[in-house]
Amino acid sequence: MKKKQNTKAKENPNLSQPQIPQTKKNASSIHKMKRFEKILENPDQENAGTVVVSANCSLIVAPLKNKQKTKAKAIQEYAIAESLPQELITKIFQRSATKIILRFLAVSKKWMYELTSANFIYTHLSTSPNAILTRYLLRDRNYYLQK
Amino acid sequence: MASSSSSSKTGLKKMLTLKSSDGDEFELEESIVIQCQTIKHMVEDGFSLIPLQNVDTKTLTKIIEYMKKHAEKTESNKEEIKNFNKEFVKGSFDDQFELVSAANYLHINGLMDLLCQSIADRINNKSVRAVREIFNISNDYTPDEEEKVRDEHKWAHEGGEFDESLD
Repeated sequence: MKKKQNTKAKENPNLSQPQIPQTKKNASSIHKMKRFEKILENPDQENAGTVVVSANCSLIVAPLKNKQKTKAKAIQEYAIAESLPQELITKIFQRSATKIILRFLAVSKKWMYELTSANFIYTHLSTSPNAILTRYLLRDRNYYLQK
Repeated sequence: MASSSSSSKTGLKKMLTLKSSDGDEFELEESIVIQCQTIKHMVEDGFSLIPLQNVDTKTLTKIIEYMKKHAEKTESNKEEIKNFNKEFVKGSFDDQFELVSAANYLHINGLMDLLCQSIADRINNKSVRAVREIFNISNDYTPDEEEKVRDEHKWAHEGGEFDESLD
């Protein structure tokens, strides 16, 4: 993902700018675009990848015609990966055994938060009656959220 | 025999058109599409062309395949449906995630259950690292914090080798 964006950064200044009509209305978006190009050109920035993709749809992809398809695809792929909402992840893990849920608490803080939420525990309890999870997680939640 | 009885009914059957986000249209009988709660409500409101902005052609084709198969569900072909379901969930994780998003959006409960269960089964034995990759989650624990979390549930991390593969 990141590699692709770096190559985009090199193409952007040459290809996109001449195609933009210099109207007043566009002035602010050009300004914004330049800002994003700066981000693009600076690979050291940790968030460069994410900023670019979300900004791409309106600001950078639009003026480019020949590169549009691959970029659109990249954006789409990014969107899929990013868009599996927590709600669905929760629905999937509702069906997992307690031991598996406990193992995947180590995935990220966000998962820790979601998989130890009271809501999740009670739904899990109702789908697979297993008091162990409730006991473990409620204790853990207090432990982690106090910090 | 079957064909004559179905053709005599076609005059009565109401047809609906589903339009994917790519603009492709699919014409289906109402009785098939009615499995999907979202569309059912639209039909009740009198729509017959149903645009599905969140579902692309590839996903919609799969979902229609599922709905068609499950519309012919009877007591006698339970085994057949079971095999169909088994084949249906064999795709890559990305495909499954797209399907599950679409099924959730369309409120097809049977498909939702099928997909969530199959994804849950497939990740059961995956390592934590593999799950991060599959779900595209960045690890925001510091190494120390992660060690602590793993330590807290040591028994959940024991029990043989975990699968590092991503499919």
